[in-house]
Amino acid sequence: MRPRRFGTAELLLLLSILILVVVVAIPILLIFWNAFVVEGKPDFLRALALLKEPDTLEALKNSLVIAGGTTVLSTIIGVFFAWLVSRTDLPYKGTMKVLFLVPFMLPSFIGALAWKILLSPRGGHINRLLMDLFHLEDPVFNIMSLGGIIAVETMYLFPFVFIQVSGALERMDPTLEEAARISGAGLFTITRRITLPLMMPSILAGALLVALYSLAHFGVPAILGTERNIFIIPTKIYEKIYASGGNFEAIRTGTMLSSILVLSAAAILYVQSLVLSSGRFQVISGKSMRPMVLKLRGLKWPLLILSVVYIAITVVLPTVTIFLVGTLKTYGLAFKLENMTLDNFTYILFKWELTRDAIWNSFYLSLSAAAVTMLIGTLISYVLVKTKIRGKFLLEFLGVLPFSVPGTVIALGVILMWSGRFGVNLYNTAWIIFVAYIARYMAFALKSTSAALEQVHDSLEEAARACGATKWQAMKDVVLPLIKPGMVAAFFLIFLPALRELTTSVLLYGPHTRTIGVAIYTLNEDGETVYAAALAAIALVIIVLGQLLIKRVTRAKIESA
Amino acid sequence: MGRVSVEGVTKAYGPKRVLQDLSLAVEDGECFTLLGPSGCGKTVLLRLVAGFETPDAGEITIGGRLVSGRGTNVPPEARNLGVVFQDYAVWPHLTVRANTAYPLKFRADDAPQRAAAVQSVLDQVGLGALGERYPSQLSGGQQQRVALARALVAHPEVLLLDEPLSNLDANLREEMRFEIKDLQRHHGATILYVTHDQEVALALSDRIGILDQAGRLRQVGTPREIFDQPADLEVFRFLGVTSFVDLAFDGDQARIAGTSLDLRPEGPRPNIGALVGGFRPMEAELVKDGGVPGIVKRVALLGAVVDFRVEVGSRELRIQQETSEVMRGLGLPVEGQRCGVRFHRLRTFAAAALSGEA
Repeated sequence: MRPRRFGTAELLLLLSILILVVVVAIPILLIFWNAFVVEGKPDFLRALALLKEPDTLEALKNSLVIAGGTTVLSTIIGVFFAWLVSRTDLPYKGTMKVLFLVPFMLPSFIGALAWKILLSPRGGHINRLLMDLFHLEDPVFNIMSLGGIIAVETMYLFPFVFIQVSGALERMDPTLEEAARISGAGLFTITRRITLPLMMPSILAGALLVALYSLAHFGVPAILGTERNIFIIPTKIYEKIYASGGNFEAIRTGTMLSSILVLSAAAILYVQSLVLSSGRFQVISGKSMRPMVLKLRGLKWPLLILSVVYIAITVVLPTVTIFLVGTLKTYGLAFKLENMTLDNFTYILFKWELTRDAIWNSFYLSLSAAAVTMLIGTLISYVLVKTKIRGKFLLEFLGVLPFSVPGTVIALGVILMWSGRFGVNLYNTAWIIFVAYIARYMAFALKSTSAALEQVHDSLEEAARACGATKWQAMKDVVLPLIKPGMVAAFFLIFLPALRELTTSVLLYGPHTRTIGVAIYTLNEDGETVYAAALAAIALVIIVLGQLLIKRVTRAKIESA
Repeated sequence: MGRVSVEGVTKAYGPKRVLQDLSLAVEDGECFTLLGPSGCGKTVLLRLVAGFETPDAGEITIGGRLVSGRGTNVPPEARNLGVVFQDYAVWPHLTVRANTAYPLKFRADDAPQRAAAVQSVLDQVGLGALGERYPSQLSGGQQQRVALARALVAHPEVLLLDEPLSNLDANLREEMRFEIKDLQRHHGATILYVTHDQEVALALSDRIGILDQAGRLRQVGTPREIFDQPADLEVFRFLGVTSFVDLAFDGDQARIAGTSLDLRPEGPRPNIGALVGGFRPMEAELVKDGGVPGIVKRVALLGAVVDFRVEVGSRELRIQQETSEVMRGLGLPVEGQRCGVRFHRLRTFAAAALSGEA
């Protein structure tokens, strides 16, 4: 064997490894280091003692209850509606299917804000209405509770299950059910013995996604819980970092809690990969077939009404509330035309520096983070998918990391890394949010670009080489044009969530680097409910416009192909 | 000049040796086919010649220029080759014309010259009118023609084809076979063709090289030599259906064990161990009287020919005869009927080689 020279492939591998180490691996390592190492020596006992503090223990317990409750509830609702739109003769199925995906678009912390306005124990509009109507002493609902948080999170997370299960139900080979029917099984038996077991992997995959998301989620529990002293892991980390003015013990508690988040996320992802690779998916084919449809008969219209009411309550009501409150002259006034004005919106958009800055910050941060992350993701995916060199396993291992790091953890990690510890201090600048976004959204970029690259067969590139193209020319003329749709998808998959992001930036913002999410959150904290709602309304408009844009771009892509 | 020579090439992937000290030469303007079962390393050899892989040891020269070995490794783009891949590898984002024109991008020709060259080669492969189509709008055969046109447009010295016909249906395959032959005559390029399809190899090649499962070259020769005088049992068995009978020798005379009929088989007669006689289905016939006695086990009328399975001794033989001949002679036999078998030709091989294979 000739000794291999250090070529382009090796250089790209090294660069990819370096980027992932700096952006993801070191921040995570620093978290574990800070959590378990005291004065240069590992000290697990003291670390564990920190967890036994009553408020930390309480946060852990709440996290478990909320994540568990949200997962169970989302799974029940998601499976039920998925079955309704794909396996029954529900009227307007197609429209309903689209409508059930709308909650995905709404940032859940904006939903939480709306529900707080509607259902907070004393001031909530619906509670007041009910108390007046029935002359009650006590409010009927209390959204600012564990149950309330679970309910609100479920409203916006159940589509994870819905998408997985309705997709699998539609792709399932109907002959499997027909065979059972011919063998004499009734519909109930078929559902219980055939359909449900076959759907189990999809149901589990969706449920695990909900659990993962709920565990790491900041917005809803921050808005509905913090005021009532209900903390979960991410909000506790936030409180520790902010309220205790960054003292050492507080940061250590934060890193301990972060370590727990990382480990649970890794565990969830591991279970998910086991479920998905168990091979039970094989009965589900790629092509669409005509599934067996249950006739609802008399229940047809009542179930449609139930679905419509569900959408109305979870989507329309909060959205309308946000827009209406955003027009009020002062919070607390009745919704009458003379109390309403559009001045709030012009004030927020053009006059008030804080909100104007926030909108601008969110725009350029998500735009640049999306562009940069997409490009880095393409580079790393290229090395992972297309090259055969030694040392690739290292990159493969590092490439999994971004998937298992929750937003709060990323934020804490970049604080530890970029606050002067290594000679670079980005604290309170937009740069620290920028590096955090790259780490947080790297997983999206890797997923979408590696999928695109896997579809570009090696022979396409080799054919160009044989035609006389150099490696770089082949890349430019053949590989890049073919993976462009995947790169565009990656860009939007990062840009849109980053635009409305709260969990990461809330730990990183400085006086001049608020994002839209942070501005809405802090305005609400400061009691500026009307402005918070108005800014939220503007955010919703931007999000809807963005979604429409993606639809147009991706549809144009499909037509030209 | 497009002579390709491979000398002492070895290639391994991890612990798996794919090619071991392989040498062969493809003469200028020749169509040379490497024929072998799947997994025998023939595609690896092609990729080594193309420059997509580097040999662990040995040398490769193209047109007298060293391209691999002795510390040299010329990248694929500098080897002046045309390659046609098994999966066509036509670029889906470019039109037929743009696909075909791509190799010219790296030449000094001016635009009108280029356009003329592209149109001419598209006309040759019968796609002259489809230049503005995208590959997704073409059939498999048409996509294969685009790949051919792209490989030919820059008039490479050497054309490498990796099973280019195996994804086509039978009729198209036959048609393309003739077309490739015609194109080669027209362009005069040296062709290295890799396939496991013996029919294509025999029809297309000036010479054929047979590779075995272990990546060793068993025989090199013209299609006629390979088919008529197979060097060993493996080559013989690789080219189509074969059957064997056990032979007993008495001086020059041989007879099939347990029968009295004398035969004169061809081929070397190693005097170690038992020998078998091999033949192809058309090299024997069923007769009413005389011949080696056997029992008809299966009769299948395939149209122009009848396919028999006949039991002789402990072995089952495949025999094919023209239908009209069968009808004129003994008539279509029924299964289980006794019959005689007459051999037109038998080649001797060591029985050990046969049982070793089975």
